[in-house]
Amino acid sequence: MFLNVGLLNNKRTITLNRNGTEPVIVVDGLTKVFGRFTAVDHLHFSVPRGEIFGFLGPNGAGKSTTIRMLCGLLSSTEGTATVGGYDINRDPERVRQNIGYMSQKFSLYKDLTVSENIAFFGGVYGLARTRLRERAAAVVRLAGLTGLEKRLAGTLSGAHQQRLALGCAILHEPPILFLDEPTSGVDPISRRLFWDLIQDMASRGVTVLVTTHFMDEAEFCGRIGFISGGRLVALDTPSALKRDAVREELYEVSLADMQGSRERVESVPGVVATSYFGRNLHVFCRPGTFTAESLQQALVRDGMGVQSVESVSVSLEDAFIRLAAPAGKAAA
Amino acid sequence: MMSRLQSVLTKEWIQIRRDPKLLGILLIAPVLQLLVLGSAVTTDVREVSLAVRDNDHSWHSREMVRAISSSGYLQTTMLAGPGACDAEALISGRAGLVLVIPADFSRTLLRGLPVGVQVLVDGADSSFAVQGLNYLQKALRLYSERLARGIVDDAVRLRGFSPPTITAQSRAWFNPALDSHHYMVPALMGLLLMVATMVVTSMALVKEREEGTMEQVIVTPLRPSELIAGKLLPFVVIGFVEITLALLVIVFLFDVPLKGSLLLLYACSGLFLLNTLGLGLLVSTLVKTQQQAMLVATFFIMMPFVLLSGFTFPIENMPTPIRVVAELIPLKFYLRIVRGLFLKGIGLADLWRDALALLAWGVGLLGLAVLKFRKRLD
Ligand SMILES: Nc1ncnc2c1ncn2[C@@H]1O[C@H](COP(=O)(O)OP(=O)(O)OP(=O)(O)O)[C@@H](O)[C@H]1O
Ligand SMILES: [Mg+2]
Repeated sequence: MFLNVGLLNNKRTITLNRNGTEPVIVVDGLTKVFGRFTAVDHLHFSVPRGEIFGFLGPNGAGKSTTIRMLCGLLSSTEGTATVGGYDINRDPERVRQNIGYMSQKFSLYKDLTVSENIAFFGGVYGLARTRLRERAAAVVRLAGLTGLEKRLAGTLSGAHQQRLALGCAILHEPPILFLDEPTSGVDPISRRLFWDLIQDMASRGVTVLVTTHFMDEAEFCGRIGFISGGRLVALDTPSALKRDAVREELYEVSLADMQGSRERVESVPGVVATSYFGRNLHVFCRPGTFTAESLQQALVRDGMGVQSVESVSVSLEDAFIRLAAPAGKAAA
Repeated sequence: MMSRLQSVLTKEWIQIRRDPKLLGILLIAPVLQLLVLGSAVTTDVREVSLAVRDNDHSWHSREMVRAISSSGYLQTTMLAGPGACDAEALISGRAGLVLVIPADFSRTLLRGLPVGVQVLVDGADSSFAVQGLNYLQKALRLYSERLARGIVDDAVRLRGFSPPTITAQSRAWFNPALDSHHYMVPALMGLLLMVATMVVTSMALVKEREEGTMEQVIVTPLRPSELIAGKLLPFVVIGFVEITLALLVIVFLFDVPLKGSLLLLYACSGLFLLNTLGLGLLVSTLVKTQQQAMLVATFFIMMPFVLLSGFTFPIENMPTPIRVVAELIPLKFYLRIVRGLFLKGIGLADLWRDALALLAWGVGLLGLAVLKFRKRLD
């Protein structure tokens, strides 16, 4: 449904197709302080053309604040960034002409219909009448909103609202897209449609910076920047993150009685951290301390009913959890 | 760019149309208020009732009471029974005023000496009482003058005495028809116009910030001036519709004629709209929520404007420091223009100073609001 529809006009496709060379977003020491609270703390990274850059991190990590600074919604306290070659502090209007933005909270007009919202945003982006008509039809089709054009945006379901928001963000075919949790509150089928669309656009040279809390979505990203407490704590491809982000060895442990046993497992010398994984426990151990057998013996010695211990490879979720842990614990 | 402004205008119109409450506030409420408040201003004075205790029972005393009742401003009833109960008429609310004519009234009058009559006033409703007293004093003065000119009683004049007078310490009263609504209703229009347009615009920008839609608007290349013009122009149109409705009510329902030029009235109202919209917008750029906008608009702008603009109290009577502030209030200029146009029929030569002041304030306030508006969330 999303695929096979030309998003960009031909001229731009040609100029943008040289992916992965020049950086389109360059973030240089970007910092935001609210009162006495530092929400974003000296970020450095850059995103090349056509990349899908995933922005991951726990709630309150500073993802939205960073995106808002890059869109010119918030001024930066310190540091700067260029987006599409323009400085976000000196040239915010030029930046705005090159970006599409979808905010975390639905922020279209709920008392306007789907087509009225599209017409308004198309108009303020300066689309000429005929082009607007073309784009409006294309966006309604892409976002799967056919038949809902006359519905008030406020009465749409969550997934349809998100699709409309994405549609309005790409109306003017921006070469750079900022998507702040575009798939929150969206069912798995619609999420796949979103990602088909995002990947299609990226393949045509659109640079996408996207935040998400879904690990399966993170796998679609070219690179992931992991941010925690306002600081960038890791930045790499998903596979490299899984390989390198976690230095401990990981075992999946199935216990007879999970009640209260997490603390007991963590108190075993050599165990650095644990996290729930389905009905089992993921146990991070200092490298070279245990094998699966010796860990099982240690737990049994401690009086726990162990059903199985298995050495497993690190998933993105494991990496996420270890990276989000407080710095002191990670070093233990 | 024209098309960006057009997009904002289209969107604003749709939103205004979809919000029946807003249209109610903008168009129906001011007209209803004008009807209700305007009638209140006119009727409370006509209803003053006067009870007369005639202790003289002479031809002159009866003649005076007849003259007072025929003036049409007071409903006259005669009190009978023991005089000790006179105050009861006041207390029970049957009368707003009690006039006591002394027993030696006609004798003193015939001797050509000044006569005092006693008036008991219901002080519980002071403005009401003062109005009633004013009517009574005016009626008494008219009667005295007739007496003096000998229309009432040639006999008095023939005796060759100096013209007799009935003491009336009347205050100056310039409105010849005693129609206070000629003075108040046009001013009320100015006030209601301000309340409706300013309160609504004070919500305009902050509503979008509060609901989050501003976030999506800021990331577009829309210019602040385009956004603001798009938000204000619909209210300019609505403001003029409001003025037209109010004019129809004033001229045809309250029978207050417009002596001056209609064109001038519309032009000056347009200048005044610049002020109310500018003030509303300025509030909108300063506050964080719609509730704050409402409070600031009500307490920091509307209340001082109503109290200090000369709408309720004459500016001339204010202490100097307050007067300095009062003299600068835009509403004052507009009220002076409107009252001048309705009552005196003044022309451009008389009102250009006030009009210029309105223009200066309007441009200044709007300019300040545009400068204060930032395409940022923080
Ligand atoms: N305007 C503001 N004033 C004060 N503090 C703020 C403001 N905006 C955000 N913060 C704080 O900054 C921190 C980072 O917020 P931000 O919204 O960027 O987090 P996030 O990574 O997007 O989180 P989430 O995953 O929940 O969306 C939070 O602690 C938040 O409370
Ligand atoms: Mg966020």
